[in-house]
Amino acid sequence: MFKLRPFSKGLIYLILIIYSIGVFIPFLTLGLNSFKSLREIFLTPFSLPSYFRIENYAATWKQANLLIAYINSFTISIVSIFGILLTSSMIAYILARYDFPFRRILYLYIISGLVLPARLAIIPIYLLLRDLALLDTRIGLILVYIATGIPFSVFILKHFMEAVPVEIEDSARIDGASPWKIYSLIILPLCRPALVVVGIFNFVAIWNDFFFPLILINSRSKETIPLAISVFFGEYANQWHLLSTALWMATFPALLMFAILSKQFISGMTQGAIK
Amino acid sequence: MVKKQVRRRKRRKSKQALIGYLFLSPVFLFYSIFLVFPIGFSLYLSFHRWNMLTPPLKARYMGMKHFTYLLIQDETFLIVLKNTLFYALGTVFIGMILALIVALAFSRTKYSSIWRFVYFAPVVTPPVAIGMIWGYLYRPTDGLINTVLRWFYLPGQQWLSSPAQALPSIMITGMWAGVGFTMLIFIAGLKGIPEMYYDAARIDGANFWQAFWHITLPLLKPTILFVLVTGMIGAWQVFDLVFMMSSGGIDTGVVPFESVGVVALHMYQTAFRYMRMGRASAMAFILFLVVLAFTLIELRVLRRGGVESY
Repeated sequence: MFKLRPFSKGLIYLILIIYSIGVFIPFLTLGLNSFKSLREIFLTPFSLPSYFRIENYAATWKQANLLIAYINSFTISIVSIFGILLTSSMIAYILARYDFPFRRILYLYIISGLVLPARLAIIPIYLLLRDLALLDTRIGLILVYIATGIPFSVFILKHFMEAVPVEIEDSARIDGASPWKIYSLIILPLCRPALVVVGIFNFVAIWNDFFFPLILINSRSKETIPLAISVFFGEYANQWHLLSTALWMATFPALLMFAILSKQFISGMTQGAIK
Repeated sequence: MVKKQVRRRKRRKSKQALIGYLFLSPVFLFYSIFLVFPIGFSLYLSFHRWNMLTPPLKARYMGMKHFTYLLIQDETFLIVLKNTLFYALGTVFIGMILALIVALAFSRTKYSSIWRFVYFAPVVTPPVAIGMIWGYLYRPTDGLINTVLRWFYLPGQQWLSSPAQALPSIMITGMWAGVGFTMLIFIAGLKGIPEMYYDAARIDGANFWQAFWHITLPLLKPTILFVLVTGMIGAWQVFDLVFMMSSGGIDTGVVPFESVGVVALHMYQTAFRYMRMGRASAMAFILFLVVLAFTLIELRVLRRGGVESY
């Protein structure tokens, strides 16, 4: 690394501080507004609340259906990630290690999903789920997420697996390990950094997704966080004290959780999962 | 002897193929049903007129009519396509430059866990929520942004309420939401550049800019390609932010659809509000082709620039 002069060092911190302010002001406004009355928000939008109104939280928590939305979002994301990791790592392993006819074509077939955006196939997906009686179910949504997550995940995992030395597998094979054992006991643990990266990539996409739940989910008992917020937004238009509270409660816990996980993510990325 | 070996190798190869297909087939079937088949079916629908009430296979055949209608007669679609192009190019390129600047600054600091929290915050906030928060910040009379502008004696802007400013305003929000993730990838890319290159450059008397142009940027090319390709594919499909910040949302400005509409939103309305499944599928398919063309161009241009992988 180049030694920095005090001036450049100052510049670097200036950039980071400006960036941080830009990122945090919206969240801060939200957090402060969640403790205010509506009148206060309009009169003194950017000052501290005169007293902290906890009652905003009590009122919003139930109305916004947030507990159920949190449970749904968590279940759907975790099950989908698990499905994506299992399916993609299997495909990636076979494509990286086994030699058989049409291997290259099969790989291209999977990878083509990267440039064919799944959102644009929403109408047939809607019909398919309707005909399978999976419309307005969490399982339907999970299946769609797994399918749409496969191309990107296979792409990353295959690249990573190709860099794993073959000798380890060969020695296991000589010791009589079955293909499934080699895959689950040797390859998967070695690919942990790539699996973490793929997992978080997909988690972020699924956790934030609004498009598929908007179209595929109808009942309030099955809605995810983004859907719950948008419904609440429609019902409580202009009630900014309640809206702020709902938004704050919908985003802050997730923020904390990801802040803890992000360390894993960075180490996964720097170990060469993305090149 | 040789014959035996060949036979053994052949047997091994066919065994490999068997295991390969065995491992693959269930996942393959699933993938084909839930992703490839829908995409193919949307191609079928785009040549038919269908309102979802009759069985889809009995839908009336329209030939290329949807496509000619969209590309020649329908003014909204072309405007919406242009908006989407503007959004994708703007947010991806400006966002990439901003992300690179902050990532460079970031890679030179200590206390990285605090900064990490900072740039991860917008990434894990659903765009729906971001759209709402920014709708509030953009309010012309009492929004935070105009208030700050007035502190510096600058004129307040109409933001989402003005047809000319609405789309750029949404793009600013889009960049705010997306820069963190791009940075994350850049930081990983920067960490992957071996320290010794910089050491060698320093010994040869290179300054920061020379090192940046001749070491950092060339070695970062695969990362840039990755960010560009994935970023563009995502940006072409932008939906949530526009949905929340245009007339779909409340309390933000109300501007004509033409000034902010993007393809995914137009498609959603055509399909699920007006029940014109065929026309909406044709829109989707035109966008498929555009995304594909852009991706191939990006890959080609950057490959020529010396990116070997992918």
